[in-house]
Amino acid sequence: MNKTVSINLAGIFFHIDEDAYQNLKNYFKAIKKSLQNSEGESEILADIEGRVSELFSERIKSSQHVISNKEVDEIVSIMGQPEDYKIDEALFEESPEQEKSDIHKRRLFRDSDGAYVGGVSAGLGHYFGIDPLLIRLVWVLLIFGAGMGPLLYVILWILIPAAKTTAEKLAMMGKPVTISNIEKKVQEEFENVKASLERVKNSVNSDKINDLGSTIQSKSRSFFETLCDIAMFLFKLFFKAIGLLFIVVSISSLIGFFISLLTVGIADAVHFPGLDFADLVNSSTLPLWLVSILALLIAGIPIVFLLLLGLRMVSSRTHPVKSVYKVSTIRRLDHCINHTYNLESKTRLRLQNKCECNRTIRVASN
Amino acid sequence: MLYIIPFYVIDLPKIKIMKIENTKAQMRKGVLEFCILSVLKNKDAYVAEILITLKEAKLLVVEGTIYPLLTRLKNSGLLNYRWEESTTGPPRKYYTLTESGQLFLVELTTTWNELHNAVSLVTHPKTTKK
Repeated sequence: MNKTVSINLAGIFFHIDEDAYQNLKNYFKAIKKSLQNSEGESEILADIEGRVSELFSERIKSSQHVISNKEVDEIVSIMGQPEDYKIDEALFEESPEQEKSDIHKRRLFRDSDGAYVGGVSAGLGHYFGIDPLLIRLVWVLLIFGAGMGPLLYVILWILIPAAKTTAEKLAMMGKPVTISNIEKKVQEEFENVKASLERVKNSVNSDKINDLGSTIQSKSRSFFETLCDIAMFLFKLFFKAIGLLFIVVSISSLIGFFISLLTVGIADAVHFPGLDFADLVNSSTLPLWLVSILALLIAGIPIVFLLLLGLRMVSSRTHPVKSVYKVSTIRRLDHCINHTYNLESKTRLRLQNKCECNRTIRVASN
Repeated sequence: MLYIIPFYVIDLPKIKIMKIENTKAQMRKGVLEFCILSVLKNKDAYVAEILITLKEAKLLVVEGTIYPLLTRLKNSGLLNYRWEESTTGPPRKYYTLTESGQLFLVELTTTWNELHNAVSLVTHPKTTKK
């Protein structure tokens, strides 16, 4: 079941699935971006919308027909990727425009894919457009120099967020976040995973470590990741201890406060002769009950907040649920990748079975 | 450090392939304007009709390229358009050649013929010299 959206494309009315609508919207946005600064931009966009509308009308069988992702994909494959809309002036330059990455557009992230320790060096390398090896050398030198290197590294590690989503990874490399770029990046990551799988397979098969560099990288990364996890765990433990302390302190002080106010009230009501402590302390001319309420508000509210803070710190539900998938395209790509994965592993299994069969046959014939 | 070396080795041919793709696209886009004008030479047409002709000739792989080109041709006064209602979809933009468009096309045709001769002379020297 899917929600549908009604849209108006060049004056024609269409029903469209919600995720298909998102895709179409992103597509138009990407086209608009790649047409930026070209002459007659709005007119070109109107023409494109008209054509898309025409293509949709060709595909629709009845007025009840809802446009789905399938139709949108078809139209994208007919119309072409957003870069195809760029007029030839850009093409005649030596390098395509999107490859020219502007340093101002880049954002600083930690690159966990190229990481040895926390990905700080790889991220800085992307940001300044230099080889991360040089930055790593600087870190090593800083250890021998003032000894501030590791401390600085840890601070940067904490302060710089890791590039988690594909959009963040693209922003890290200074590439514009367009659908085609996201697709490209996801494809790249898929290839990387495939390559590492291959590597594992090879190393298992040949009992040799082919590329020492990547093994060292993955090992050091996993080592520092565990170290980071331990540090995070200790930090959380410490944090929760403080929270618990807050709760205990605030509850006990609240109880003490109530008891003392109660005592004052009783003392005021009963009026032991010669024991007018309450009136003695109360130097203001206000009645004692009003003073008690004011005191409760002034001291009690902060204590209640302290209690709430403590509860919040102790409970683990501090983070909202993370939404990893923001663009539906990525999700679909993920599906595709999973699908191909399954296919691949299946065919591999089948091949292995076949090999084994052959072997047994050969053994039998021998 | 060892892992860096293969990456550089892989990167080099990639750059060369990119350039070939660029040149191909440049060639195709260069003649595209000429072809659009030629399609409109005898009769007025709307985008889908122009696209069908160009796609049959395998000049266009994706449709996207044509829209900026059409707008540019129109803005430089070579094309004009009128709106016509359609029974099946949105109203269509019918493009026509203007007078300067006709002249431009004639000039482009001669240039193309010259170029064609020149290129065939250079690329097949033996067959043309006979």
